[in-house]
Amino acid sequence: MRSVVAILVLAAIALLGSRRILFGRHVPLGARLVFVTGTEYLLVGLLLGDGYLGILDRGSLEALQPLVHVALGWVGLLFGLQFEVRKLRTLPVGFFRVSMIQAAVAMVFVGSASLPFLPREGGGFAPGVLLAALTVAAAAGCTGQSGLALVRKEARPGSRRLSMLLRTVASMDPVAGLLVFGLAAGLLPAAGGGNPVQGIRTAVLCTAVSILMGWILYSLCKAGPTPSEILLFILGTAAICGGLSAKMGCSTLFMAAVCGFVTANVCTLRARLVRLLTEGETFLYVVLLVLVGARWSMPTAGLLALGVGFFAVRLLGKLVGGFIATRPFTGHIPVPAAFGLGLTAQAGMALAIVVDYQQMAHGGLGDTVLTVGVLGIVLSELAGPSLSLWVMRRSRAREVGE
Amino acid sequence: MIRRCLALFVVGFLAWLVRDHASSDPGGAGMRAAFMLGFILLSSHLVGGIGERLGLPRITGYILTGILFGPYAVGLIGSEIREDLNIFEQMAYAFIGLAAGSELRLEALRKRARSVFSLILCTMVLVFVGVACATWAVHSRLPFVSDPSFFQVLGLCTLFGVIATARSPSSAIAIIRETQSRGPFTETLLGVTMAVDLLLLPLFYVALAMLKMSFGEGAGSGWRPLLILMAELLASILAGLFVGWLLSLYLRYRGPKLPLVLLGLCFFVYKLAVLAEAYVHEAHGIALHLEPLLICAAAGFACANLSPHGRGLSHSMDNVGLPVYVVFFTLAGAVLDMGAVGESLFVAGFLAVARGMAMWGGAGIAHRFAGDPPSFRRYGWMGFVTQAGLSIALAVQLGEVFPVWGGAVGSVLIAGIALNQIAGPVLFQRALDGVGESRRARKAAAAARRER
Repeated sequence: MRSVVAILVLAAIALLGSRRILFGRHVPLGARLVFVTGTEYLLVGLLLGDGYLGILDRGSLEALQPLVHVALGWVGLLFGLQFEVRKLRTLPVGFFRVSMIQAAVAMVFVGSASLPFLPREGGGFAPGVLLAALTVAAAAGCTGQSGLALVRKEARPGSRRLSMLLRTVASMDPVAGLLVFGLAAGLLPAAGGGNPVQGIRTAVLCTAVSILMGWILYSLCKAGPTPSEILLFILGTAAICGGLSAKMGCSTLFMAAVCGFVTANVCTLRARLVRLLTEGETFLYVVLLVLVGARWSMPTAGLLALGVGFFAVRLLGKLVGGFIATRPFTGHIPVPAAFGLGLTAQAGMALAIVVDYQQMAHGGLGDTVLTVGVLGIVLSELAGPSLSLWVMRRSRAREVGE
Repeated sequence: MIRRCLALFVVGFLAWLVRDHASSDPGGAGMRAAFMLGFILLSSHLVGGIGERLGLPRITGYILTGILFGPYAVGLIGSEIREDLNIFEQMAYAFIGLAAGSELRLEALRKRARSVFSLILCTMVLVFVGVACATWAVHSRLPFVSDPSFFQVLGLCTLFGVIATARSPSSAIAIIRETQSRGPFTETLLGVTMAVDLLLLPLFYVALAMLKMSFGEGAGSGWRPLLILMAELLASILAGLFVGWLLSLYLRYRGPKLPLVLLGLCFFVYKLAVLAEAYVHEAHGIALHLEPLLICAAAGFACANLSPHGRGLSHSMDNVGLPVYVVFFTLAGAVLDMGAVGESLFVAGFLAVARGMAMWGGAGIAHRFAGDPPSFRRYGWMGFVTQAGLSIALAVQLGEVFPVWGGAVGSVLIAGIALNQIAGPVLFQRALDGVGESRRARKAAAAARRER
């Protein structure tokens, strides 16, 4: 009977969403946030999971595991496909520098802060534990664009340039996070002792296979495929990247991103691929959130505290990083000192990184990183848009004052 | 072509590397399933493309990929992989049901009621009689009990005849979508195919009960499943109508993320069927099995016919349908034991030919009676040759009911089904082209008109 109740609840949620009663009128930002950030899907997953209704029980979750790999591959492919070297050259180098510096500072802050909470072995850290620290750090470095998109309409003429800087930085800084995580995942095995030579070999092999997959996707796209064929190619490539990376012990995201990067720079259908991937991204993101929610158990007080701590340290890292990175710009764009707070929103890539890690390190540490990461991401997503708006208003006030 | 073959080789090589990955690793099965899902999608598409160049329908290419990489040939898609991907196969089955239901238009079926009814009646009767007689002719070559009684042979022939009447709605819908066919012939074919599969289940249980009685087993154990089956069919249809109503509400209010909702719906229908079965068994001790395909077909039918927004459903399904068909038919091909086909090629081939001839006769009479155009009479039978999922399931059930000889006889049946499954899609496509309802035929006709 619980299943029937669940179906009815889901149908009600779907119909409620479809009426768009929440979006049709002017609704305060705070109320919109819960729905736009995808938090509701985590809750739906939690509701459907073993803890309550049991529709997505352990068996179903195991059976649906390939979907997680596919979703990660999809996110990675889309990310890689966005980096066409020809177009990247047109972006101001300064913007790129800001992205990397603030992301690096946030990563150092969160990575160092996480070390005291991680288990030690004989005075040092095992490679798997170091990977956990680097995963949390990499996730902290990423900025989500959904929060910025939410307040874009509210960007007044005075803060347009700042808004553009924020958006460019938010779209570029996941590169730093993904690079750190991807290379760390190749070099440091999630389970067992680390052998540096084997780690390097894994990283190189993983990159080579990714390039090969990029070539396959390019070859398939050469025959002038229909949209449903492109969907099939993308699904197939994402699934293969997901499965192969797990076999080789490296990151699915990294592998798919390299594959996407190769395709982006050789394939003439890049724009069509990106369009289809973007359309499906929400789809798979929802699936990922529901599956993560179903796997999630209500965090203990300790984990809740760690999640809040993760959010706070990241915020501090972004604030300091943003301040350091934007000093050279203050003459051209009215960048407030608290610029970094505008990059609080997280979501997308950060969530994908913690889920990817959880796939590699099953059990204790993997679940802990996932729980802490998801808590931090939800908090960042909730706070992000308001903080971005605040930063833009400060910039405008400053420009008007000048 | 060279590029396609090279890509196929690379993907196959990667699959060979991953094949031996220990499934005991944490998450090993999930990783293997993800990889094989990708492998099936890409390799089947590549083989389907090569087949298309040779004039074969794509689904034949998918089935051939399944046979080629399946457990009886290269061995990349073994039984453990099918187990890993079972949930996707079930979801695909439900999705195909939804697509098939949404293709059935009540208005069109009403207009062609005479054709539909006469086709159901004539093809079922003639195929049943024809295959039953053919089975009688070769029963001594079947791995049946030694020195069977008259009634035992009669029971077996009846069962073979009933299973031979089965069609394949999944193949029909896949080919119709692939060839983008539309028109009265297409609608009639689909309507008849769906209806026959619905009628087949009760007939199968009647035939099974007769066979059991011929072996001295009580009829009570044979008739009770029939009653339960009727309850199952009714419950499935009612559940489907309810789901269809919900879906039409969703379409009416222009709900977002429709493809996601459809795939989610297929999962929930499959899962609900499993949970309901467990609940009824626990609470009332009855093994009531709700059929996800039927639930979804009823849902698709209700949504397409009761809601003015049904077209949106069809369009959304087109967008995400291809990967679903590829996975489903490749896995269906992987089940086919070509070794068994080889061993019983004579009997299986003889039965397949008898079925084809009976189908030709039955469809010809039906079309003549309904006053259909000559092209319908000529090509009609070709659309009913394909057999797949349901017939295989029934053949397997024979092995479960009669453990001593049922498995061996079932494998002969499966061999015949395999032949129909391979030849069927080719004939189906030929029929749609011949009648002029496939996109290719419509384009050719338009070009010819322009030339004139």
